[in-house]
Amino acid sequence: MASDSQFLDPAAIQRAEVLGLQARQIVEGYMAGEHKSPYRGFAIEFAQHREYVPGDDTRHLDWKVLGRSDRYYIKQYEQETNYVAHLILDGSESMKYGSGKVTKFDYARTIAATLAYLILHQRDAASLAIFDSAVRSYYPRTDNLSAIHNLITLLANFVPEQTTSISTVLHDLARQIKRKGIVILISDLFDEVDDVLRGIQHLRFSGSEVVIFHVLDPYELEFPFKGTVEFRGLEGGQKLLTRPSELRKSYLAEVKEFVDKVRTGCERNGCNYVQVNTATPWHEVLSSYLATRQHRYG
Amino acid sequence: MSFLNPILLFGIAAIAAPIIIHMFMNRKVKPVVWAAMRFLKASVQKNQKRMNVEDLLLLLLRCLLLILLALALARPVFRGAKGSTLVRGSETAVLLIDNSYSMGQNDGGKTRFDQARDAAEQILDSMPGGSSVALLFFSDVVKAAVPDPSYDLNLVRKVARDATLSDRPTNVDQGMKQAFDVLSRHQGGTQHIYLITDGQSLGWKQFDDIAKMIHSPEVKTSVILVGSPEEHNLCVSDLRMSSAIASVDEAAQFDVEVSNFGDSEARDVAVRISVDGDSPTDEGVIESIPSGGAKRLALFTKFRTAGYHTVTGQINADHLPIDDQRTIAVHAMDDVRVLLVSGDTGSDPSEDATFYLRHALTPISQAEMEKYFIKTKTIGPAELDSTNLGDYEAVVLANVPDISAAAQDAIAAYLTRGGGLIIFPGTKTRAQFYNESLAKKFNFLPATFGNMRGKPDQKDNFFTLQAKGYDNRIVSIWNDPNAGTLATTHFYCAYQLKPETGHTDKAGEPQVIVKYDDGTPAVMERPWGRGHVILFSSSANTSWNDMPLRPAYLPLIERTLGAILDRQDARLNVPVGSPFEIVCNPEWVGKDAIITSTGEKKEAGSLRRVTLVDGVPLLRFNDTEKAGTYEAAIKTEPPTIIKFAAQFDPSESKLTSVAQVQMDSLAPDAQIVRWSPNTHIENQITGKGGGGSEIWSTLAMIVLVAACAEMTMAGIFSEAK
Repeated sequence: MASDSQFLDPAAIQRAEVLGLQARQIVEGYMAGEHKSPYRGFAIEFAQHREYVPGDDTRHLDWKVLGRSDRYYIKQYEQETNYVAHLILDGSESMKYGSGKVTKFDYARTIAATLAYLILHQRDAASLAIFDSAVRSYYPRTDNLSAIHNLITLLANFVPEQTTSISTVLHDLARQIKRKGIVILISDLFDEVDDVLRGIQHLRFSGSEVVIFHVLDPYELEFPFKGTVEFRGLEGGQKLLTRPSELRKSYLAEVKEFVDKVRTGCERNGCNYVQVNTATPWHEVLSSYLATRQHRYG
Repeated sequence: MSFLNPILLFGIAAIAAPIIIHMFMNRKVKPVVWAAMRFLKASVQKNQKRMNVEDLLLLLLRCLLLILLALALARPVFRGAKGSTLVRGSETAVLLIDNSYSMGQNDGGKTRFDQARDAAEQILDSMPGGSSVALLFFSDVVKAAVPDPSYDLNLVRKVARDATLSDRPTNVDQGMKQAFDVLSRHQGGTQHIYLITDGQSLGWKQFDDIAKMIHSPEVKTSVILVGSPEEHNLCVSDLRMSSAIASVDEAAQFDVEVSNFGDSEARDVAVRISVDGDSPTDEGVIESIPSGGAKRLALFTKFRTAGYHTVTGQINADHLPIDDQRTIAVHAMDDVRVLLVSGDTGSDPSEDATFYLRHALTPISQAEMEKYFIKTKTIGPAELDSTNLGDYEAVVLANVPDISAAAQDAIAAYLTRGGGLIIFPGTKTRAQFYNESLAKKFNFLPATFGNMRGKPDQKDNFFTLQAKGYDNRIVSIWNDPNAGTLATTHFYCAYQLKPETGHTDKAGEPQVIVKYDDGTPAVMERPWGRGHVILFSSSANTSWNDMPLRPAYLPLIERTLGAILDRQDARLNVPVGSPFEIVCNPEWVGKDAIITSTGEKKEAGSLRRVTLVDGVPLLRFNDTEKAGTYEAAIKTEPPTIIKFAAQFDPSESKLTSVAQVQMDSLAPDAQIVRWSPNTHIENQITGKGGGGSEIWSTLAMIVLVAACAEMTMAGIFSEAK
């Protein structure tokens, strides 16, 4: 967890502002591009009917009432406050890897910040947990948009340092979450797949909707290394000397098997699985996901 | 197995290169911090063993490739026993071609040398690929035309075609030694000497040594004999001037010796003599020359001008043209100046020590003295110091007691330049001075003066000269009884001549000219420097003998002077290949001279310069490879022409072939091929197999295949898996 001194650190503050600005731009860009109501987001419920007046959006006409009574009524909605989005961000050392300027963690926290901004902007509640082998930073549930700054500051100033144990964290969270909500897990999932899937299964069992943003670096997906390379593990400090070009196919097969297993496991558990390549712009990932979600949930 | 280029075997050390690269490659790594280690580890676990095997395979293949490459470059040769039937491999060969002048013999068509060149071309045509050939021409010297074996056989072929005959005698031993020397410096392969010669017996004098070389198991030898046996050959084996002095407009006698090297008697051999290449001035016929014999014919000519002339003795041409004529150079003089130093003038002119000498040298009246070609000047010993000896062709010391140190040095310088010194003792002669200074200190004298024999006043107790067996050319005319005799001269008194032994750089071997009847030397001679010293044991006048009163005195003195001059002329005639040098006028030092041989244009002549050597102005010329006349034109005003001549060795004219028995004795170790234009030499030589076979080309192919395999394997192994 970030210390007070870090919050006062001008660099940390700047990082938070950049991250916040970035998240806001992504959300606003998304909204402008989609031309959709911000209320058609994650957790909105029907409230009452009122009579149609010219100028109302015809999309909100209740066609069933019109069919039965030949009268024009508009459906009105109200915010569902029972739903909360739990943003769970992997802050283990493996997330520090980045073949370019952006590490997986940078990318992941930008997604988290963006989603937090979007959720709070829609007046939903959100909480944030950053974990490695355990939860290291936590921001409790809030539906106050003004809390976004603190939340983003937390994200911006977290430094991955520990090895990961995703399943433990997921099991803990599953036990802690009292009310059903949306659990958004952002991680590279570099852990035992079966354990991870069991953790996800536990979350689903607790009634939560689970969304997995599986963050991977393009080099991890393509393995383009040449010559003789000594790979130094980010977690555990292992070293491995080899000629990667001769191993590329074998490595990619391993990665594919892993990704396929995760994807299959997620789908089997009714989770939304989103594979994220850090080379892809954030807004594209978000747009793509939200479009899919909108299509799925109307 | 041996190697043609064993030094390149060190290239095998290059196998360290791939090993080092392999190790270095593993050290020169790029570190990458990596997150997805689990997948990488799984992948490595599946592939590492395979990659290690591939690495090892590639390393072994690369090492093998370098070893094979080094082996191929070192050119290994598998040797078989001599005469085995291994596949004939490339050869390191020496073409050893006889270019002695007997190879100029022709039987109406091609000369033996032409045939030798044709045979050489056939040999070159039959050489297996990758062969290298050196080309040596031999006579009594070896000329390395292509000194080291060359792979450019066309070059060898061209050099062989352009080669010319020498005018030298043959010596197979020399050639074989050098051929072996060449091969010893170029080890490996089938070492093969192709000896192409006419098989003249003269060249095989050291037959045992040659046979020993041919017996070498390391080197294969093929003897290719060219030319058909010649049954007739006449040769002008000698030409010399028998007149004492060559002077202008005086008849000069030349003896032409013709040798018959044929199997049968030669009859009616026409002999001609000519001067400076003009029409013959005299000719004669030798009625009969027996087989193996030689006969002389005296022919006469005159020199119309003073200076250098060439005299050619010639017979009709036969199958070996070079020896049908012989040329010598002669210096004809219009003035022969003789300095007489008298040590005792006596009370009466006739008692002067030089009285009889002067008259013998100028046997004419006082009125004719001016016109006579011999000019004498008589001085006393004291005047010797102030006299320039270089103005005289000869200096005579007659009864001179001793001479000053300065005079001794002047005589040394005079002899060094080629002057002549004649010494007659007498009553005043101080024998001790002569022995200590002139004999021991300067080595001028061919003998020292010993005890006095006889007494001047006991004329009844005389002794005489030998009556026959005159070997020296000064006295050789008295071998003919018609010329009179020397034996009638009475000697009452004489020094015993004790010959000096050995020789030094300047003093030559002493020789006896004539002996007394008891066999002790009466007159001796010795070359000294470029000059000549003749020492008499008795007086020049009648005080110790009656020789001046005898008819033989005049020709003896004249021939003695002639010998001095002849010695000077002898330097004009050198054996082929020997250096020529002549003492020049000191004023010519630094002047250039163009030297041309017979038929050679002035533009093609050799440029030389008159230089001072040890204080002596000399013109030197070493390139006397062709027999015949040479002309040196010294750039003086007007130009000075000096003619000289190179003489061929007549022994080479004996064309007798080496005995068949001897050739047969070489057959176990060498292939003896009698070549004719219809002979296919390849069948005769290669049919018996070579001494080894080279495998570099096979190795090179394997290297190529290994290189391709390496590239392919490296490509496959480095593909992503």
